[in-house]
Amino acid sequence: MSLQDKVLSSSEVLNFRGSGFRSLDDIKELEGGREGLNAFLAVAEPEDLEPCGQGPLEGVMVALKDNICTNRLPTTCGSRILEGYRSPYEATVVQRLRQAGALIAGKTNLDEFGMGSSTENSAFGPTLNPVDRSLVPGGSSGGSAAAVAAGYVRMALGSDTGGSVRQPAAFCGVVGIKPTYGRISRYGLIAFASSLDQIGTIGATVLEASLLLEVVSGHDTRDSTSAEKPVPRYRDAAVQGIEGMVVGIPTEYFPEQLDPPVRALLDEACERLVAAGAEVRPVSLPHTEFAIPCYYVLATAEASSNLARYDGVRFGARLPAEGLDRMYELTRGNFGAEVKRRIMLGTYVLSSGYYDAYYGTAQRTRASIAHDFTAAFNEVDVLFTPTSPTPAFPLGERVLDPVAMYLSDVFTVTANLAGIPGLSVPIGTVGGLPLGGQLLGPWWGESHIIAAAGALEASYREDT
Amino acid sequence: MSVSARDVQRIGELARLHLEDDELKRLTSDLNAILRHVDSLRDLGSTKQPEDSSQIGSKLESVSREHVEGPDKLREMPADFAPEWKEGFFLVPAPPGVHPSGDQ
Repeated sequence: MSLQDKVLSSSEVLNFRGSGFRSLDDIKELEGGREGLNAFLAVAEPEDLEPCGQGPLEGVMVALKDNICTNRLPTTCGSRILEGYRSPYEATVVQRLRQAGALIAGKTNLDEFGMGSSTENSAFGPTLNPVDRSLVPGGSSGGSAAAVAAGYVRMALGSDTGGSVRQPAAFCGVVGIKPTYGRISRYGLIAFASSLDQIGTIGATVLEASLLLEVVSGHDTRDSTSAEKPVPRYRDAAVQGIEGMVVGIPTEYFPEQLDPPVRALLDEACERLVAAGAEVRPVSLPHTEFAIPCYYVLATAEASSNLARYDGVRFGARLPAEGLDRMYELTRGNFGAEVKRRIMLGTYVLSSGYYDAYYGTAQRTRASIAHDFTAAFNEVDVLFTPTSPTPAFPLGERVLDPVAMYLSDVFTVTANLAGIPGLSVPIGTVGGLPLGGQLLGPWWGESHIIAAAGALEASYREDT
Repeated sequence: MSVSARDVQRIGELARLHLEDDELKRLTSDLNAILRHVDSLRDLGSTKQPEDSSQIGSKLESVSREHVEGPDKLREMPADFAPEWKEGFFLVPAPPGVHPSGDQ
């Protein structure tokens, strides 16, 4: 029986109620009611869904972060400047999802243009954490993580420029994978920082996040940075086990300031890795302390360039004005506070007289960070770290303190700077709130980190 | 390094962002807080030798692979998906002060 046989239409699948499935109507009802999380910015109508192919995701609902272009639903990037924008083409990942039989359930909320760690920077209001609605879901892919954690969908796509898939996955208690730079085509992903951006997958389980990764990965002639490398069966890696795997524990990711309950959960996760057959040993990544400043110089520099296109001529809802310069300024006034802050910082670090002091030094630091990983992966197969120093924090707590917000990403930005794959998997709760453990692998080593995450997940599942 | 309100005003002009007085004040404070943190990068020069940034490319085959000539699929695409397209150009609404004929 298949959708292609017309036994079931895709809209019938999405409107099926019961057995734990959420229909499109369920999502609309939940999101529009008092229990709404504001996880979705747009929910599909049944007529938006077809056609779709036959494949491993046949009939499966998948949500998309709203910085991934779709031509049947609006693409806003969480920004007033793109409110109502409808892309004339679809992202490559959307085409691959349709070919695999997936149904695009809707577009999820995000920090504007992916700039944030809490999804509070959306022009369309914050997303709430389904575990505790007074807390942030993390960001910037907070809508996707919340939609999976709340059971609206089992899988969602996000994007990860400095931890934006892994940190919200950790805060919401689900699985998030940021693959190697070049693993997934970025064609149709609206750019924030092009050398760091990567589409990633979020799933209720390691297997689901891995299967989604397998479907959307692969070379694409429309993205010159996508790699011509075969795509392994990641779904098999999720259950292959870790006998003999060597797991490195980077000392720099376990600072003394970590709360004791957080450290205790991380220690327990290490013990579980050993019990599953792995060997655990300490390693050093000495340039870690420079990762956040390096990241915020490079990411903002690239953002200031990428976002120059929102001028009311090329992109962006034009505001009427007397004269061209005034029109540019008024149109770009639709950017939110955090986007303006990053454009300003990026413009400053690229300006004459400061370029080498900031941008040049940051580029060299980036290479040092990558070199640290090369050295570490000569000794170990994967690395295990916390995904974030804390569980989810309260709404509003850090929104007025940009440096405190930026430090939320202290353990995740290094993977983007080096281009390596990273994964967050739940490792228990602190005070009832989910905590994520991060697995980092060598370039193209997604299968290793998926295997380690699968072993951890299986270990925790045995407890229940 | 730190920035003054006047510097921030100038950066805003370069970035084509008009800043109201309260925005200017807040951004000056925020940028200085961020720059204090970012300035730790300069400590790196005296404590650890930064690497040559070109080394990153050696690990990411996707950005350093050999150039192979082939059909440029992008070349044909804009006309296929552009809302309006004429003689190799996108058509957009005329900006203020610009007449469709091209005369100022």
